[in-house]
Amino acid sequence: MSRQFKAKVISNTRLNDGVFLLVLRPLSETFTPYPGQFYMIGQSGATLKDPLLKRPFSCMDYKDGLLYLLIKVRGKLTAILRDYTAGNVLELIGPLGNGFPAVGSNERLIVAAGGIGIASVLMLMKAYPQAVLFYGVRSDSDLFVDILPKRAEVYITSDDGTVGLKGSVLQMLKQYLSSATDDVKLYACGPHTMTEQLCRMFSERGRRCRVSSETSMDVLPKIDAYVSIEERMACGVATCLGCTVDTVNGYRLVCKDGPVFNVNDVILPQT
Amino acid sequence: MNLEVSIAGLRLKNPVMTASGTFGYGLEYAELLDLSDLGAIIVKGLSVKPAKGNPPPRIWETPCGMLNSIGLQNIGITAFVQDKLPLLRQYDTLIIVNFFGDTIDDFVQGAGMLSDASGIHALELNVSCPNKQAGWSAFGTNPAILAEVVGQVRKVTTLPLIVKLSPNVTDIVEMARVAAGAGADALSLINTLTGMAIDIETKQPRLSNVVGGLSGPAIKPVAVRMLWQVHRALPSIPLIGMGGIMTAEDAIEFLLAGASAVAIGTANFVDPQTALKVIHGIEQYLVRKHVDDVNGLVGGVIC
Repeated sequence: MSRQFKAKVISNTRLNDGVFLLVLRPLSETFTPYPGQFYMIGQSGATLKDPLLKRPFSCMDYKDGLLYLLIKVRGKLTAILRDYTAGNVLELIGPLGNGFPAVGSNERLIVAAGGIGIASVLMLMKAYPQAVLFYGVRSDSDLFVDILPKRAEVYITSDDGTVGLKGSVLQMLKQYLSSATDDVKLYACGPHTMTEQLCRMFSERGRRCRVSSETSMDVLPKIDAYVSIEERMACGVATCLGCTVDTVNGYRLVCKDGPVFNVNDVILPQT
Repeated sequence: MNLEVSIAGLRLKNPVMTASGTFGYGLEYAELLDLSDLGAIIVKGLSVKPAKGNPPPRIWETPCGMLNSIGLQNIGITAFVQDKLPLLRQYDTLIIVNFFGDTIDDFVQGAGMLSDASGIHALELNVSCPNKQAGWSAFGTNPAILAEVVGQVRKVTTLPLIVKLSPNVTDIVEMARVAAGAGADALSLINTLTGMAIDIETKQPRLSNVVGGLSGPAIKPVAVRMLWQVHRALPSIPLIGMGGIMTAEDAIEFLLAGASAVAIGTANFVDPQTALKVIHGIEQYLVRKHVDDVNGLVGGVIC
């Protein structure tokens, strides 16, 4: 069994203009991924030199030996993958990285996803059916309800108000948490701006700031928050050292030390 | 058929190595391939003290290549010797340690520490990283300073000394001649070419370090040309060819241009099995060309 393997496309479904659901069957025996892990994925064949590097993609789901990937077109490789059809073969390395840490028996799991970030938290939602999901999208065409677990409790926001509540998913989450009384584990994945906001809101440092500026905020329950962070990487296995994130423990690598980090450890860029 | 090559007194079971900065400390890839199949592993550039490297973003892909500005992040020589080397030594391959310093004294101290460790087969002197602070590039681009650093390091080590040359110079042959004259046993070429990319929407550079080192297939023709020039001018010094090798065909070009061995760099990121595929492909080429010794290819370009 190797983490490096080839996989054949079983199906490729367009969900909107930019997002597609790719289902792959590995052509050799592979490791079972944990929620929050990722794969480096590229075209098959060393003679294909442009695009050159593999790209990291979250594992959306893994069932019956099939690997499910929810991908948004962002550049050359994703545009090529969008046009792949059943039978095309890809090269993968994975599963890689550390998934989300286990949820304690006395903790509630709350999940926050922004846009395509939903891809990295769906396995988690399936593993913890009681989890509550806060799902923010730009517009109703970016919302993919069919891929969500059927009985999940879901709160939706959109930037333009075309679906769910208009506004920020994190504001809605904050309101929800203000009435929560038990300990919460919060797992999140979304664009960089959402991750940064989330770190500010839910880190101990952020908490102290809030308490000093808004006197009523000390009613917030204890929240142990983790974010899945995205960064450019060439290898996925800690040899290129490209995917650095600054933490209280110094530079750490998204591929090996992450992609999931505790919000207390992440040092945000100065604004 | 013979694949064994000799470089600076080192005997490699085959002429294919993995290049510094693209293969970690070797152990990261132990799960994906048998390290004992490699001719040699050149480990990530080490310094006397651990180095933090540059802030992110550090990587940007360009057509058929990539820019990086890692900035020689490493765990330091002491941690490497204590924690990595004992594990790496268990594999049946040669271990070449790439190292650098911020001053000539640093280089000398690093070379001394590495020479005292057991299990290192050769040193690769890094004077050619494009991502260090202003002024550092003089080690690899100013002939007098290059001669000084190579000469000083030569005095403190009996290990085979390979100097990795920078392509960011006007005359690569002059730099090769200086390094050889100062005591280098072999030369590695080329390191990355200094490059830059800009996000036209934000008008900011793609890398936080602004400039970075360009590697990958995009630089291969430049690397082959430089290697050929150096081999033609200095046929007696062994050369390790690198720069954009993705396939056995690429590697054979370097051998024909005059390399005694080759190193796989960026291709390791794309496919960690590349070095093994290159070894196999060279064997097939030898069979097809009825050559029974890989050394018979070296410098064989007809021109």
